[in-house]
Amino acid sequence: MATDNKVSQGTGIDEPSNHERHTTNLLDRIKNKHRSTMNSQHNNILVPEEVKKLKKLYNIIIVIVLLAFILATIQTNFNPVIIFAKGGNFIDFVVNDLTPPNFKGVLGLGDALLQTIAMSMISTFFGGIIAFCLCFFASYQTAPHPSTVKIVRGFASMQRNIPNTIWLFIFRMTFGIGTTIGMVALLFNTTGRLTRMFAEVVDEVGKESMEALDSVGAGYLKKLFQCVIPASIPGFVSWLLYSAEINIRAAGVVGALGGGGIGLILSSYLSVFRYKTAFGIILIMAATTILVSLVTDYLRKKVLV
Amino acid sequence: MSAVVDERPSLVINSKGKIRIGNPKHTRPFSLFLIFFTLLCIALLIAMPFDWLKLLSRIGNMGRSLSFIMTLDLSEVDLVLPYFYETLCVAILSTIYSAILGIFLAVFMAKNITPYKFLPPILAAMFTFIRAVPNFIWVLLILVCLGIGPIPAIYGICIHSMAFFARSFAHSFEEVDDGTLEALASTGSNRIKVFFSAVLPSALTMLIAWLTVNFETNFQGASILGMVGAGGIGFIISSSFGSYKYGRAWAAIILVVAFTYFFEISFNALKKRLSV
Repeated sequence: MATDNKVSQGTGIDEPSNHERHTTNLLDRIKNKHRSTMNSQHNNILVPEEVKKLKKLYNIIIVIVLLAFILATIQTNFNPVIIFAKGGNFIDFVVNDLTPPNFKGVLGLGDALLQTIAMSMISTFFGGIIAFCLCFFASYQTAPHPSTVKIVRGFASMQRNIPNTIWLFIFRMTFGIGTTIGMVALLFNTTGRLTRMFAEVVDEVGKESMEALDSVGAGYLKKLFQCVIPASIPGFVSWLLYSAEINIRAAGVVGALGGGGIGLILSSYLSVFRYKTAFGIILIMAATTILVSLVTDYLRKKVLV
Repeated sequence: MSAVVDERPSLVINSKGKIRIGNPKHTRPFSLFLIFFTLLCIALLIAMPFDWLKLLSRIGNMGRSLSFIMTLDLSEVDLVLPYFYETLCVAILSTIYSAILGIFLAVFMAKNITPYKFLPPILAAMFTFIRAVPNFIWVLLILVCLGIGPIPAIYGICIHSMAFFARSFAHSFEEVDDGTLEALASTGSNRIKVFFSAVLPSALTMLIAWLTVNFETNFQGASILGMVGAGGIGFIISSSFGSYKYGRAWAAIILVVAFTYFFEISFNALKKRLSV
């Protein structure tokens, strides 16, 4: 205001005032811009350079996906509308062969269902126990020596990345067909997954509380039992429930390839073309899976408040 | 000691007169759950005729049979690679097609942007059923209609992961801020414009995360489908085991594991870049 008054009182030449205003505006603008970039670092608002980088990355991803899509289509000769060309065949199969589902005359269905549930639960249980023992060696916070972290984690990711059906194949060579083999195959996969996840839970447990216990002179075991385990039990239980849900899904497939249980019955009915009974078994399997996932959801809400 | 309790009710004191660290209100559900779970598993262990004795008696054999099995033979990798490529193609195509279908269905399934209010619960029930049946069994059923080869594998996995995508995409769409949708609607933009300019961009990072998770699952699913005649590396694994060519089987298994591991690492790097 002061400068404005001066100018208006002066000779009426507007140039300097305009110039002044212009420079102050510019300064303000620069200041504002600086402030906004400062803010952007805090509020996660992207500045143009970051947006450009991100866009470039997205473009690269899109190109890779398109290339993969074209190559895969050429390789497999896949045509998404082929199912409509053969639609008559498909509808005929669904209407005449598959439905209505037949639940009668399946020998030992209840027993097989119980076997499947037992397979998945027991493998979760033992997998949980083994993972509980291993995870303290696989966590960066509690490992007695840094090298154990790498060894145990590498072992766990090998167990996890080999699909449990391939574990089943390996054990089938040694032990023959049966529910026990299915259970052991599931157990290997579960142990790997849970060790990895438990270790991550232990890693997340606050380092500060560990330091506090360190400062009062607590030993290694005391730190483990007084701080780490109580704080990470909710995480452990959550992953245990997740694993139980995964295992009941996997138990069907493992069973169908020779692991026993309801999957074996299903694959035997499919191989003799009795599709109505097979569809009934599929429905029972689906119902079991949905029931287990409902129970685990309920427990998650009830236990993990 | 009781006087101390009256003065400071926030401290819980146990029978020995020491201050309790854990709050029993919080820890009781966990201990109850763990006890119940342990009891259930012990009951199942007793009830089920698991052949523990047989298993233990065969463990002695394990060393001998492992020495048979544990051989690596890289001389026939050129035979394995085309099958691996086929598995990769099945995983890629089923993921892409199911993602396209999944986005389309998720629009109808997300509660905040669906055009028909009665659709979400119906679709949710349908997809829960589809997801409850493993993709392996969908492939087996489609194999009956379309014959042997990679094409039924693509359809079967596609059905299963379409349900997965629809559910998880709808979940991500529902997390989009309602204020943004309202603001766009008040400027007179129609549903399609709102979807493409507000919902999709804000959920994009989540969508990419779901896509990669699903691709990994699909790859693992596709790698076993060959065992039932749907093409891919599963065929070479099962036939090598069947014809006692363990070296070739291990080469194939190592290829699968190495690819999964490589994909996991590269995705983690990508995730770091995308989250800025």
